[in-house]
Amino acid sequence: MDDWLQGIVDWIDGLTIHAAVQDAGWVVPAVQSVHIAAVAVVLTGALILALRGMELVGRHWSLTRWSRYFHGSTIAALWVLLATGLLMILAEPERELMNWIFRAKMLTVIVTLLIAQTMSRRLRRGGHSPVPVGGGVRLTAILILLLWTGVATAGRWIAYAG
Amino acid sequence: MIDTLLDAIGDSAVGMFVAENATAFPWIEVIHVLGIVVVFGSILLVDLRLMGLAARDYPALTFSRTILPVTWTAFIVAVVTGALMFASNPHGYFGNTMFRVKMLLLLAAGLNMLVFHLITMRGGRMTDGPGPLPGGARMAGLFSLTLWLAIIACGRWIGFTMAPF
Repeated sequence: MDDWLQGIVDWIDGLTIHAAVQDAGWVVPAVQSVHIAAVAVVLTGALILALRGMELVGRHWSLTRWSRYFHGSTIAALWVLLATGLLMILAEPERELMNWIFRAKMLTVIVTLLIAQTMSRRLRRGGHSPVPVGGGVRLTAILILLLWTGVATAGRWIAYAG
Repeated sequence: MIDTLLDAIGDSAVGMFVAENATAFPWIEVIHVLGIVVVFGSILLVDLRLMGLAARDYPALTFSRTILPVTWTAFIVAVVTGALMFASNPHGYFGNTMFRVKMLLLLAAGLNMLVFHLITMRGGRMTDGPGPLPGGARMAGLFSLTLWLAIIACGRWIGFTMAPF
């Protein structure tokens, strides 16, 4: 796998856009800023759902209503994360693709998305009416929050290790 | 005088520990970023409600009251971890233009919140019900959102304009 990814790194290193992004010093911090803002949308959505599951915030709305509220913004933020993440790989392919923390982060993202999608579908299956929510859903909301926190933590650690 | 203070912070046990321990700074930065992320994400929810762009059927004041404790908790985490990062290289941060801009923007965000709480909310035109809010509340939301986006950008630029320690 390392050889295959090294081939991609070498290919990106030869692209004109890679050189252009490297030359313009403002691109990487600007893209990272947008990336962090999108992380904020996803992580805060997960946090509020977990806290609502524990009856700690937002009791004026049901968990189903909160889930519907965050669904669209989370999907939009995930697309922004994908776009800005790809730009960061274009800028610094070696730093990202050859780093085991980056690979662990991507694996965790996939697992989290699958779990989050399953929970979201379950909560939204009743349309606009609240779905009865048991302990399993509340625990899943906490698990999703922990997984997204792990993803964000790994994202910052890419700069220091791996 | 400021140099003496900065020297004292840098030479303190905490400052030396964060600067010299191999994993302290990265872990503190991770927690700082998580704190800022939750501050921005939760402020965004409140700002969008103030601007009338989302959650319009949720009573505005009840919405703020339920979300803002999350914001304040995350803000305290961000301030403590930010202070620890500052202690690792006080001269470097103090002399960094983006750090100074970030501090000014934080001050502006605080003032915006004070004006909103002390003037707009107490002006009697805001009621705790669903629907749009007065112009002052919408402006406070717009200012806050803009300021916090700029604070995030400044924070990221600090990392690109100075070595951490």
